[in-house]
Amino acid sequence: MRLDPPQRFPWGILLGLAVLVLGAGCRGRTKGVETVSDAAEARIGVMTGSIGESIARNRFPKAKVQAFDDVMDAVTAIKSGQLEAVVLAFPAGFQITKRNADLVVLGEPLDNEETAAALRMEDMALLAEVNRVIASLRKDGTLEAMHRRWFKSDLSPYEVPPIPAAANGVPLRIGVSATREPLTFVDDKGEVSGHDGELARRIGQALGRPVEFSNMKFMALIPALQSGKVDLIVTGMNATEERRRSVAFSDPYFANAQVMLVRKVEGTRQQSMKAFPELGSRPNAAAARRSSTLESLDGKAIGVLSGSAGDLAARKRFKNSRFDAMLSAADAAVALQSRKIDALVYDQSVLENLVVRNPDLVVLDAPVAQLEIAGALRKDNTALIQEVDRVMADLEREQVFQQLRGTWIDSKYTVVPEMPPAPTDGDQGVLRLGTSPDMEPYSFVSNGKIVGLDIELAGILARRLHRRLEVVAMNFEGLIPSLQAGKIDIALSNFNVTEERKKLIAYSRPYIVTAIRALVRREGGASEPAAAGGGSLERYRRGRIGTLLGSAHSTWVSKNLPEATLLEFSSPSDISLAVKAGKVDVALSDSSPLRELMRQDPSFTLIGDPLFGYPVAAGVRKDSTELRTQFNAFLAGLRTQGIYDQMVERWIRKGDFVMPDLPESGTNRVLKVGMTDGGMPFVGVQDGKLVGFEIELVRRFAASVGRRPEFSNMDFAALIPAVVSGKVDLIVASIYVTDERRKQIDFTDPYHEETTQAYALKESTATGSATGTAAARVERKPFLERVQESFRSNVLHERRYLLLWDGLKTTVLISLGAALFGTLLGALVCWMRMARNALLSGMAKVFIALLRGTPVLVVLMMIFYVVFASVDIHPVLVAMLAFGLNFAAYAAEIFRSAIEGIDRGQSEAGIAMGFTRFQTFRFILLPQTLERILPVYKGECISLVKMTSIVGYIAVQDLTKASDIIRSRTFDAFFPLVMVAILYFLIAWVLLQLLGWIERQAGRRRRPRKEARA
Amino acid sequence: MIRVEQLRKSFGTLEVLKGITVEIRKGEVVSIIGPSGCGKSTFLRCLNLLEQPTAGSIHVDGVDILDRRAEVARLRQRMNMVFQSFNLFSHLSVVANLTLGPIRLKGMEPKAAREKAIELLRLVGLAEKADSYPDELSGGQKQRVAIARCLAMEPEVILFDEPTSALDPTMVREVLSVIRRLAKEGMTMVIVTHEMDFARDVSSRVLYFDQGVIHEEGTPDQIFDHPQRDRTRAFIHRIRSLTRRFASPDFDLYALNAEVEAFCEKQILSRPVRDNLLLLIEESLQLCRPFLAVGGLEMTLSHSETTDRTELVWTAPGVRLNPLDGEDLEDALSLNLVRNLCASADHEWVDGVNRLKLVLKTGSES
Repeated sequence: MRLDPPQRFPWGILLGLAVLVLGAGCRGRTKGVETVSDAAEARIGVMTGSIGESIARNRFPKAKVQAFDDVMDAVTAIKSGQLEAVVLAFPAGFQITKRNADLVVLGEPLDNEETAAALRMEDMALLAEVNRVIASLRKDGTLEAMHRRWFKSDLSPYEVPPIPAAANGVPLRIGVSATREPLTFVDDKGEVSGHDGELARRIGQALGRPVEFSNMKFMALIPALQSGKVDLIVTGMNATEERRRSVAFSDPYFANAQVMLVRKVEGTRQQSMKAFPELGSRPNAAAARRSSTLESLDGKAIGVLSGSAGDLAARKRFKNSRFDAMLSAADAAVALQSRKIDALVYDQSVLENLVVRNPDLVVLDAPVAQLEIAGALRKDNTALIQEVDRVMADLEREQVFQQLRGTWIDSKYTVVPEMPPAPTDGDQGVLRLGTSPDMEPYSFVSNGKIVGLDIELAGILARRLHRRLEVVAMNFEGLIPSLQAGKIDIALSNFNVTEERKKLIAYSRPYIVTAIRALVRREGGASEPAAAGGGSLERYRRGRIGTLLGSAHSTWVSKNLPEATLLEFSSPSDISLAVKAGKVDVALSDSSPLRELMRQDPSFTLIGDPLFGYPVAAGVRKDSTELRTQFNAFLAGLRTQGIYDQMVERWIRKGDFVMPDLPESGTNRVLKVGMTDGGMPFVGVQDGKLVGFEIELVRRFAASVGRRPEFSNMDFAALIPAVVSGKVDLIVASIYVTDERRKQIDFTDPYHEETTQAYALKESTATGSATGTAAARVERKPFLERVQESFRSNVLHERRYLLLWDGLKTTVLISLGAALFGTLLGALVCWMRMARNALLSGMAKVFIALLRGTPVLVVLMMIFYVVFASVDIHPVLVAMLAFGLNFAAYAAEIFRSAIEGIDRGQSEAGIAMGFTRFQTFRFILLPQTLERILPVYKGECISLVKMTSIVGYIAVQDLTKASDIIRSRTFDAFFPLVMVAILYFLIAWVLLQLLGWIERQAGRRRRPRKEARA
Repeated sequence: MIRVEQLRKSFGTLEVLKGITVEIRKGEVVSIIGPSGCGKSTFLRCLNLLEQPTAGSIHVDGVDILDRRAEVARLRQRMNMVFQSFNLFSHLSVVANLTLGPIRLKGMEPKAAREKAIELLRLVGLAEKADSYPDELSGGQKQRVAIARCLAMEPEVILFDEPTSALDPTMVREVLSVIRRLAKEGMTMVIVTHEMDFARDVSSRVLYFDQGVIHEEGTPDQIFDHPQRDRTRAFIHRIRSLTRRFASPDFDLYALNAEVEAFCEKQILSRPVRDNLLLLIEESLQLCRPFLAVGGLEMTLSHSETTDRTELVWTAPGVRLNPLDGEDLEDALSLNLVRNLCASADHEWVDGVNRLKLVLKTGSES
């Protein structure tokens, strides 16, 4: 028997599925690694010859260590359950977790390695220069900025600053292994990019030499350097002892942690490392910028730790504020959360620690003041002061401060770091340390012991001073008096250097230079807190959040509320319905349409303050420069003429949605505009016509360039594909200008600034909102009355029946067209399928297999966006084509089985009687075929009608879409849906009657069907 | 009227017709007999080009119908066909089956066509079934309608492709009598059949097909009573007799009975005759037990329609042994029964073979 490829194909898929299922089954059995110690006997993947390999082998002697040549192979292995852990460098692991949500980097680093640039041993001159450059980059903050830009936790595009390369000079040849995102990798322009790529360019720039990259395998780098093929290796290479024997290393430019990558285990003590250790710790900086500004804090209640530097700085800065003295930072955080105070002004590092524990708080970006932290000593204790200063200077030179800072502050540790034991004896006597152990990470109590940076530093000091350390815990306020009274020798307790205090005590050299910043609630901050009624979005951190599919809202939620369940809807009306039906707890929306929604339906309430804002602009295809320029010029003109302000006034401020009479362009040049009926004031439907700010804008624009606008109402998520594929020229739908979108399309100048706000159902927001439920009870009216009202608002108001009527016509048109085309094509395919010619029947078989095996929605979109991407074809035709193709595949098989069910003898009898082949088919086979297929065919036709409800995807306004539009205006779920259901049923019923009649005609002379059973 | 020369037909590598040359004249009734698989039906289907011949020529009234320019459809109207499986159009009523051709192909007025159809149905005795549907008819009725449908096209030749093979024995006669009537009226017919007596009665000429060629042809008397060639003779004998060999005493009596019954049906023997025959076989088998133990007992059952004589012959090699002489107590009952059922019972021993010949009593004799 001949096996055709299409017949064999599904078996392959089935096999693949089976393997997957088996694979999933295996995966389920392996135990997850929750902490590093869990990996003791695990299967651990490492990179061949890497530091990770030696760490893994030394640290986990019982583990099964498997070496891989490529990181991705190891990742595949861990994902498929063949490994429990992978040991690798943090940047790589971090990058992997960004793309694999089921993997996580354990919070506890295995080792810290210094990453440095490698040079030839003899190249001492270059080494000195590179060190100088790295030092200066570190000093001016460039390195830190680079860290921040390249090591980030999301997948948003990297910011790449332009670094002009020296025009001439001896090229600096840099060896890289550009497969190590984000260290070194090849970007979309084909250039070597990444943290180290930038660093290399900066070094080149500083040295006045153009940079030439050589991209090679990692293993080849050192030989290439030694043989003089490259001058410098900058590609995240760790400065190991082993390597130091063959090459020279510059000063390190960052500490590269070796970490363990494991599968995520839900609901366990698994801690993940989310940020790069040296990243600094301001994950919420962006949110903070939008939350409130420093200025707005003036006049608010500000919490301070009395007597702290933050206290002084805040009092100096915020003259109109009320100050609440707190006993500890943790107390202040609670006070902040319970809205007793609006901000806490204190040391940045302490605040950042609080943020880690309280994600609903955020540190404002702008510092209140800069400050230094130093040890406090008694003024007259000159000997100790000198000794301490000497040791401190040593420590600074030895970078001990930096290490301490790394361990306690920058690492954002999750398990309190181990501290070397403090000296318990010393020949020089005792060093009595006063500290206030309530300031993590400087001085705090963990497991009953006082630990922290200050305590560790004190231990080091005591050892260097050959003294025994004695820690005396007291309140912060008590420290200075104790010092003065000689009860303690030194106070290390996050003491900020202030002029006031200098009068009372002496300071050592500062060991930490830090900033005083303000800690505020994540949003709300200084402005309007509980008054909005809804409280904060934080309440819904783990809730169900509704957003518009493909919108910036979705991106924001997945980024900022990762624990929430994100439910994406294809139209704003669906979202509000979902909120109302309690399907989602809270939803995000553009603020302007939200105002309109709340005007229509008082059961909604705003949650918190605007979350973020973006400029709104129209999108065009990247190569439509002319259109963009025209639009920008038009917009500028509109602004200068004052029309723009009028429009804003009319549509957005006042909300009296009246479309002015606009000049129509007489030409036939069409401007195809894609939009989404996101609701007033931007786009809405009135009397079956599109209205709204954006519609007016586009109409005016079209008139100004002498084109006739043609609007396609599509799903929001379909807009960008539509403009990219050239289906439409311009898209407007209150589209936020985001970087991500800029990659795909170009934007015009923005014509609006839109903010995003969360809203929810009133009843579900405030606790014990008796008014909400009462209101709900009042709304209950008799059923009939409600139906009448619904009918009025959903059908009669604004002549919405026109929408339904148009939608109905479109649905019927598409159904009939597709059924007709599909039947004819099906007959052709059936003929081909039954042909004796192997090619014809093979083609038919492939056609049938493909079309029956593909979702019709995918076929529809492919035809619209791929096949006819550059062809101007009416979407209704595309829909007929797509559904027709699908229908044909089924019809062909129905026909074939019917024809094959008729015994050959009858057609032979016909032929023997003198009929031609065609006549035989026409008079003998066809009537019987019809009789046989009609029952099945009827069912197919009805599913076709129902299937057409997805044409909204390609901007066809059918019955379903019409109901969506109505729902978007009335926010009523029940009536439009039921109405549309009834209309679909009616179409199907009429169709059934029609086909039933045909069936009766075909078997007109038959007695009651007895034969059907035969 | 139809002249066939060196007609060959192959299906793949299998050559079914190996050069048939024959002429069929107007008014002739030609029967085609022969063992199954010898190409009888294929030959018939080649005549109206339901099968495309591989080689050779067919001339109808001097026109070469294998010529590409020949109007095959028009030719078929003159040469209609009756099939083994009737092939009535199941979606049409009986009368519509008859009128479809005349209306669509001959442009006849529906009314006239219907009147003529009713007339033809009356001819085949089915006028009252005019508005029934095919699946409401018995097999014999269906075949009669099929014949009437053929006649409605007023063909010059009718090709019958085993018209009674798919029928119960009781319905065979009604169909055959319709065909007999057509023969009497002078219709030119080519009939492939297994009904030998019918073929003998109705044919003007009989063609014996064997191994893809016309092995022998002649008048019915020549073929049936005086076949010239061995294969013909063997065939004629075989279709009139049933032969069975018994190797051991443990034979399948029910299978034997079924075969005998089938033979009786084919020979159109009445029920009492059939019952007597079955009894005779069973009892005489008792008598022949001694032969069974030795092995190599053979039974030959034959019936002649002309003399209405049914003969049962047992043969067994071995020492001379006459079962009819056995007077022992055990077989006495069987022996008496056998003697009662038989018109004559003889035993002979020739060349070391015992031969027991029993002739069944017919109803008239008893």
